[in-house]
Amino acid sequence: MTTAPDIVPATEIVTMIERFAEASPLSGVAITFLVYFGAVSLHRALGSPILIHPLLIAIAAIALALQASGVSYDVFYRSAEPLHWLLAPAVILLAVPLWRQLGAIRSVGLRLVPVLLVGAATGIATSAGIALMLGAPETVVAALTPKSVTIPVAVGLSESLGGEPAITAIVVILSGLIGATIGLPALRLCGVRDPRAQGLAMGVGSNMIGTARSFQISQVVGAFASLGMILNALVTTALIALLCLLS
Amino acid sequence: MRGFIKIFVCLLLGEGLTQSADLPVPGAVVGLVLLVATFCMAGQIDRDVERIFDGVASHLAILFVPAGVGIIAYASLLQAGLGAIAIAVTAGTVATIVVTGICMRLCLAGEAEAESGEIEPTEEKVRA
Repeated sequence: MTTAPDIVPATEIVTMIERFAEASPLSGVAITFLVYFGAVSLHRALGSPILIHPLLIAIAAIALALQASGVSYDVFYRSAEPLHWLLAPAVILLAVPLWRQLGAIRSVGLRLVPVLLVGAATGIATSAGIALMLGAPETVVAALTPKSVTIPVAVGLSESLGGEPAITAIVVILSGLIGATIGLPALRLCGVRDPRAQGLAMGVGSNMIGTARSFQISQVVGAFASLGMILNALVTTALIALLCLLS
Repeated sequence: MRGFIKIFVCLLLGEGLTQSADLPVPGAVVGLVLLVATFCMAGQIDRDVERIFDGVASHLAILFVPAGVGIIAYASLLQAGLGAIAIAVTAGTVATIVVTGICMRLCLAGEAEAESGEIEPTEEKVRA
C-alpha cells in the first residue's frame, strides 16, 4: 500500500482514454469542435492567411495529439464519425449556392457545357493518369481521381471507387491551396483575362479554397468560381459513373 | 424543421436511386440535383433550406476533420506514393485550371466581339 505508484503507466492512460471514448460516443465530436474552433481563432489571429487553412491546423493538431498520446485513430474516428455522416446533407445544401448562381449560368448559357466537360475530364485524367503513370497503388489512384471536386462530394466519390477518403480529403485540400496560390498567375500567363473564365477555372480546378481566393479578386470571379466548383462536382460524378459503367 | 425534412427526403431519394440503379455515385449528389429541381419547379428557393445553408456555410470544413485525421493511419501508404501524389496534385491542379480557363476564354471569345465594350457583369443577380 505504501508503495502505491503515483505515476500511472502510459499504456494504462491510453486504455483509460480509449475506454472513455467508447463509453461516451460523442467525445470525438466534442474534441473536433474544440480543436476546430481553436484553429479558426488561431487562423484569424494570424491575419487569415489563405495558405494556412484552419482545417489543416485542426487536422495536424488532432493527428499530433493522437500520435503523442498513443490513442488509435480508429477510436477517435468512431467517436467523431457523426460529423463525417453530416457530409451527405452538406452536399445537398450546395443546392443553395448553385441556385444563387443561376444568373451567372444564364449569362453564359450552353457554352458552359463543353467547358465543364473538358475541365472535369482534365481533372480526372491529370490526377488519376499521372498517379497511374508513376505507379501509385490502386487505392491511391482511386483516392486521387476526384481531386478537383469539392471535399464532401470528393470523399463520397472516393468511397464509392474504393479509394481512401482520408487521402482524398488531404489531396483536395492541397489541390485547393496550390490552385489558390498559383492558379490566377498561371491563368494570366496563358492570356486568360476574362474574369468569368478566370473564376470558372479556379472553381473547377481548386474547389472551395480556390473559390474563397476568387472572391478576394472580385464578386464576378468569385461567383463564377462557386459555379464552376459545384457544376464540376456534378459533371465529374457523372463522368466517373460513366467510366465505371463502361469498364 | 421543414428545411431539414426536405434535405433528408432528397438524401433518401438520392440514396435509393443510386442504390437501385447500382451507380458508383454518392446518393447525396443525386439528392443535390433533386433539391435544385424542386427550386426550379417552384421558381424560387426554399427559404427554410436557405436559412440552414446560411447558418452552417462558413463552418462546413469541420466535417472534414474526422476523415482528414485518418492521414495518420495511412502514413506508410502515403510515403510509398508520396512522389506520385505530390506531382499528380501539383501538375493536375495547374493543368486543370489552365485548360478550363483557356477553354472558357475560347467559348466566350465570339460573344466578346459581338458586344464589344458592353460587358455587363451579373453581379446583382449573382449576389441576390
